[in-house]
Amino acid sequence: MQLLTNKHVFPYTFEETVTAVWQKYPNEMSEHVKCIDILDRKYDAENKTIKTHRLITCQQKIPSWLQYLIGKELTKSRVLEISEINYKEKTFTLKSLNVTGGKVLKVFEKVTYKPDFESKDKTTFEQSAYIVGNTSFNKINSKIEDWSKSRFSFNAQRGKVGFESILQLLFGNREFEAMAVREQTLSSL
Amino acid sequence: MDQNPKCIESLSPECTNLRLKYDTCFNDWFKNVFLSNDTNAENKNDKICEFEFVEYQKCLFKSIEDLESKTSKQQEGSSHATALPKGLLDSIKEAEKEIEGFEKN
Repeated sequence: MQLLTNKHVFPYTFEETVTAVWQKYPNEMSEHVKCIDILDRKYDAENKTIKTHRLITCQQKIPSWLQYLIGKELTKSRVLEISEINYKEKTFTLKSLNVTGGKVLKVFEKVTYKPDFESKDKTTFEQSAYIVGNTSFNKINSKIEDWSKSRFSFNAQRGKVGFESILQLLFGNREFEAMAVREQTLSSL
Repeated sequence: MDQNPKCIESLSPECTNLRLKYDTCFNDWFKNVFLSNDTNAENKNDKICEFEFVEYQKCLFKSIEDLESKTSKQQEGSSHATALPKGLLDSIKEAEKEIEGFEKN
């Protein structure tokens, strides 16, 4: 098993960030994400929660040895994402697991967005992923896990940049504004 | 800008436009009702964008069924009759259980 964790602070409010989560795809940096579908969505007015099941369809080049293990006919991979936003507590948690290729590999992912404890104008993003090779052979499992880990990190880094591009599109370039303010402060000294 | 100007496909292209209509309705409700502190604006009804959602769901689940029957036909013609993969909906249900189980650990 391989464990990956990431943490990041986005210079956007919780409300802005969660609004952008629903609109993250498509973005130029996450070209492997091809389709998004909403399988189920439940709103609880009393508790201010929305629970959503989404099916995410991905397509990406995989090494031929892995294609052989997964099966030639499986060119698209599908991932189930179950998310819950709780607006009373201001948390948005998304959990996901691959629906296809599970005999070879399982990737559990958990992402949480919540207001940054230092600044209400910012939102923290925490991600953890468990990658488990699921074949009967330890050597093959570690090879699968190593490949999957590097692919996951690559997609996660690009996904962050892609998500930032959507935040900028919807709410303006915050990093740039912050930098401009800093420069102004410096020049006034 | 109110919405990502680019639209991602649905797993079946004929459902993309229905999902887009639903998404547009949901995003508007999410921003102006769910995230608003105005309790008068709050929708006490649990059904959000119901008409758009039902239309989209009809299209989506029909497409998933079509996809499943196509896959099982392909399987019938192959020599791996014993290695029949489960349908997509069954696999989704299994993944739901696993995610819930995973939450507890």
